[in-house]
Amino acid sequence: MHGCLEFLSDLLPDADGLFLGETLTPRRWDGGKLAFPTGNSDLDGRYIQSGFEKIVDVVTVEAVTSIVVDNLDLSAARAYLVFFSFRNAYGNACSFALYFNDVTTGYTTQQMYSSGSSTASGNLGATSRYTYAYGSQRVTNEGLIMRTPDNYTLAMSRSFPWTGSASTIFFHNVHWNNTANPTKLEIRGEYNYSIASGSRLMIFKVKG
Amino acid sequence: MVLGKRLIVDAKTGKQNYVETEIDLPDTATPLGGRDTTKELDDLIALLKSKGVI
Repeated sequence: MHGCLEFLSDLLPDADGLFLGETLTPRRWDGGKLAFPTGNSDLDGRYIQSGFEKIVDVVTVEAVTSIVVDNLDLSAARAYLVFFSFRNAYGNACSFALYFNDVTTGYTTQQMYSSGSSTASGNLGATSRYTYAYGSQRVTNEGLIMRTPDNYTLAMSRSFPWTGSASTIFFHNVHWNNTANPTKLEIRGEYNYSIASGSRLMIFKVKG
Repeated sequence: MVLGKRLIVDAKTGKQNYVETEIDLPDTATPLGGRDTTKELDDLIALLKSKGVI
C-alpha cells in the first residue's frame, strides 16, 4: 500500500533524472525548471514571480464617488496592473471613468460585452469608461495600463459585473490622447457615492 | 458638479485620505454597447405613427 508521500514521490524524477518506470530519456529532468510560488503576496506569487510588486492596496471604509491614487510614475513603472473588486452603491447601472493627472478630456473608449443572451460592441466615443456595474451589484475587474512607444497611454480592462441574477463580461479599451506621463490615476463613478464601502483597489508595478 | 467624496491614496507612502469635495461626474450615459441609432430612429417613427403624426 502506497502512502500519500510515496505517491507524490512517484510524480517526481528519481535521482537519475528519470520518472518512475522510464528507461528512455525524452522527459529527462535537468533539475532546473521546478519552481514554487514564493507565497508572499495576495496572488500566490503569480505576479511576484513574473516581476510585479504591489504598491497600492486599499479598501474603502465608506462609500465614495471616486478613488484617486497619487504619486505614480507610469514611465518608470512601465506598466501597472490594476485589480478592482467593488460594489455599486447606487441603485442604477453605473459607469466608472478612468482619468489621469486630473484631465477629464481626450479619452475614447471601445467596449464589448456579453450577457449570455446577448452580445454587443460599440465605440463609446469621446468618453472614458473603465468599468461598469449594474444597480447595487458587485463587480470584479482587472486592468493593464501601459504607454505606447509614442508616449500615449492605453488601459485595457476586463470586468465581470453581476446583474443580480446572472454574470456578464465586459471589455473596455480606454485610450488617452495625451502624451503626458501619468502620475495620478482616478476611477470616478458616473453617480455620486457609487463606490460602496468595502470596495478594494490594488495596483502593481513592474518590479526592478 | 456635485458635492462628493474622494478616497485619495499616496502610492509612495500608502497614506489614505477621505476628502469631501466638488466633483464633476462623468458624462457616460451611453447605453450598453454604444448607441443603436437605427433602433432609435425606428422607435421614433413608431412613436410618431402611434400619435398619428405620420
